Amino acid sequence: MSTENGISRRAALVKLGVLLNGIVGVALAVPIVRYLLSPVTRERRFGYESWLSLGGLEQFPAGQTRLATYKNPVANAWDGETGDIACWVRNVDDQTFQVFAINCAHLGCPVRWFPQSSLFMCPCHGGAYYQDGSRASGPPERGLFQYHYKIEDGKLLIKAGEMPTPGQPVANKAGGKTTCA
Amino acid sequence: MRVIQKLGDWFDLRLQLETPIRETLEHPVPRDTASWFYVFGSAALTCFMFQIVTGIMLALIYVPSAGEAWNSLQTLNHGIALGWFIRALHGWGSNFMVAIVLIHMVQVFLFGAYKFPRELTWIVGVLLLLVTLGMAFTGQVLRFDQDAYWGLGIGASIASRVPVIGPWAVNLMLGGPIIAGATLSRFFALHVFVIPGLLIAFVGVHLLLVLKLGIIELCISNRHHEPKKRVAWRRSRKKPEVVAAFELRS
Repeated sequence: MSTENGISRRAALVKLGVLLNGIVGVALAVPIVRYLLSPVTRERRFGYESWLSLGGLEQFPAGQTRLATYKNPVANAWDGETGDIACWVRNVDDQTFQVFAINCAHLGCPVRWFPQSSLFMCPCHGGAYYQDGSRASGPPERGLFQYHYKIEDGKLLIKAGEMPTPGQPVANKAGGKTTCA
Repeated sequence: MRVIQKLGDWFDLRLQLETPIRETLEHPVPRDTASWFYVFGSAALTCFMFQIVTGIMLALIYVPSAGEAWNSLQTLNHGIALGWFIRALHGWGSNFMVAIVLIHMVQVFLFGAYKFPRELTWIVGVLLLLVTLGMAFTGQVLRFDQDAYWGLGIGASIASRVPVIGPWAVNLMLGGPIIAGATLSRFFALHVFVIPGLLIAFVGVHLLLVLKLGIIELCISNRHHEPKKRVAWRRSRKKPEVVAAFELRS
């Protein structure tokens, strides 16, 4: 059943079948890929970050660094304790504050504040930071991540909602402003 | 007995599997491969089957929810008869599987068994190593304890350093902006559906290649002590560099 083109009826129908199945495949793949990418694409539209209260200023005495916890703004009911995120609050002089992410700038392990030596130290690979969050020693190539903060009605608010990682958070590029500098 | 035979015949008339199974079981191998050096591939497969069985048993109790995972493991440890034992089998079994897969790889490498015509067997074996490590990482995440949480933080920090797409890769890996419920759910899906599927597929190809291509002879020179035999063995080798190496030695 060859035609003048040298293509048999059977081969032509197979090609048509492959084409139609390909169209169906793409039609299915588009929603699947969009579904899979939703943690990335959803964020670009709404942003993960928002202003969150860490509580009254009286919890953070001047000249001291204290641990604080906030409920992450993007949370599910089944998150359990993982919905609570810790951070370090340093009250410099009652006017100026610094709020550091708990995550080490190397690989995200939880840094701990040692008032005895005025250092933040990381348990994983020995990263150390001075009290102002700048890098003291170890593998981190930068200081601790800092949240933007503001004071309203005697409460300390920070802009947070995304785990800070050494690669710059996506929100920073979208907002044009570094959230976690 | 005759009933079983008849039943077997009834099935085999339709399945026609008797011949291929017998050929597989009786396929010839080099005589000197009756050696302990050859057990590691089968041992890795045994570990994998063991992990499937114990894993299914754990899945009967485990709750893949960030808020409940740890509590369900407490129930498993203390509230279910021998739950702690099955959990320990799965946990230690994963360590054994990684170790045996690595030993298997070293053995294959040292024997030169990755060479023609078995390159694809080696390549699929590398993929099997990667998915085995993937199983180990996703599996320890399912405990969702401190180790799992900060281990994910390390994974996210490493992913974020990928050029250009790093920050997106973090959100994709965590299923959101932070390590939370969505993270555990997707690691559960990876550990229980995606990676085991890949593992079974790769094991199938790996085994098929082993059966099609056969296994290599044990090539340890000092096993051939007797001089006459050694000469005969030397002459049987075509490659001049092998002969040269032996002239240097003797």
